[in-house]
Amino acid sequence: MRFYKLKGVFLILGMAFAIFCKAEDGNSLFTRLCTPCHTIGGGRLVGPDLLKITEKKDKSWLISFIQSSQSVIKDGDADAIALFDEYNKIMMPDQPLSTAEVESVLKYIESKSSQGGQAGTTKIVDMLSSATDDNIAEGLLLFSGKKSLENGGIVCISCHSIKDDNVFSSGKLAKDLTLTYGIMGSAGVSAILNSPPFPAMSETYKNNPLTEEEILSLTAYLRFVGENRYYQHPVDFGTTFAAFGIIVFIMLNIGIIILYFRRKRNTVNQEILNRQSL
Amino acid sequence: MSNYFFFIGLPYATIVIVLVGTIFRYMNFGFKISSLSSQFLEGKELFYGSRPFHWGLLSLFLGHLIAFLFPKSLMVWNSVPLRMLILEIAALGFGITVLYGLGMLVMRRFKHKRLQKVTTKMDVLVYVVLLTQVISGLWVAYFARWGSAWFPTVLTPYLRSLFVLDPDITAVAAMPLSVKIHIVSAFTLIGLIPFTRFMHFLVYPFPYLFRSYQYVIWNWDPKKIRISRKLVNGVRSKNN
Repeated sequence: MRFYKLKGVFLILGMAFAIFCKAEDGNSLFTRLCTPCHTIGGGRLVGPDLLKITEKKDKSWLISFIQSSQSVIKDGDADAIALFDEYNKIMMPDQPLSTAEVESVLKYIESKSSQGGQAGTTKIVDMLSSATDDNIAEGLLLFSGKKSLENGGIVCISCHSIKDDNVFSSGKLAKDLTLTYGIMGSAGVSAILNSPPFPAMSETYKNNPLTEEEILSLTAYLRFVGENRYYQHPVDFGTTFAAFGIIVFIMLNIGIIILYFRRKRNTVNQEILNRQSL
Repeated sequence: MSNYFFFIGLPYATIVIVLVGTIFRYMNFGFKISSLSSQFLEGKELFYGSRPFHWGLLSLFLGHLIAFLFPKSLMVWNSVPLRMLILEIAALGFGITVLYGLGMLVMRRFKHKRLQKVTTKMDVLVYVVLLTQVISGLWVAYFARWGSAWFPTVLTPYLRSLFVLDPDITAVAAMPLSVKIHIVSAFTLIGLIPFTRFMHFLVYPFPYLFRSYQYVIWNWDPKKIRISRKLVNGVRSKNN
């Protein structure tokens, strides 16, 4: 009887699990994931203009490419490799979307293409035309965490590294950003900072977005770092980090031994155990 | 698909197993819940393994719990890079301590024949899962640093989404393999609680703190019996 009850519990949980599997519509998916790098009828950005892309490419190819562009490229697909090369070998991040979700995005692109493109799509102009040295200095402070971000987001060095002698203890979770500006330009960098297409970064800044001023300063700083990378020789903090970790470990063990110095060193039956092993 | 399985299916399966399994075990085999201590069989080496392991593990568990419960406070703490470094170095030190303690415990268990006799297959599984957990944790701490900085904004929302029954795996699916292994082994470890010695994590002998003294009365000269060598000659000892 008890086991039947257990089965019932599992069944209810299974049904609940099925309900959790929700789907987002094509419009919001496109806005959240694609707009930082693509337009529909607005011209090239970081990636290609997607106007009438569903007519130019096979649907199954598009689904595979959107879900994991790198897998398609690694499989040796000629079209994918040509596209990758054409866009400065900028890796399109894998999107953890189901086939149904990708199809909904493609439907959205198709419907917008039939209307002649996305309303309000504009090309991002070079925002750094107004950038000054103060912006670069401000960008360094923001990147290194010496100045907090206005909306409380985590600072860049939490995850990223960069080739700059002034930046100490860079993070290693995400990409090194030294060459980012050179590859993406101000349009790409600012678009990503404004609406990150990378899932972890998007989640991080969802509730703590960067301000326009911060985006300008960080973009200016990334350009500066990219241009001056040959003159920078930062020391990797990893070895120091590991060494300090080992020092803490030694101190902890010494502390434990001191704390339990007056412990009973043998079990109560030690003499009996010794006698048995004679 | 595997992301859905590991980061939605596994956590909920784990929660169900822990709830149903621990209650079932407590109701039916309450007096069998034990950490299965082997201190009686070997106590000297146990100290050098058990103490670092438990102190390290409890500190790290508390750290992860704080990151989950108070993410904003952690973000404020980490907003000054030096403070973040102090926290990360301390956490790494505790992680190494756990690995060292666990290594000592594993070696001790396989070194002594007396302990091998009381070691079950589930104990071996416990060691494997724990080693996976600790090694992947150190891997994350070093190669995906700084974990304390990105945990509150990447993993806390994921864990919270599980608890509010609205799972969102977008961010966690994009994490590196080390982080994924760490999460999966953590859920596996929790799922093993009802079936292994992990169960002692949920049961504490608080009455010991408040109970009266117990008198142990020996009816013969204990020292004389203890040092007796007659057992070797086949004379039965009276005190065991």
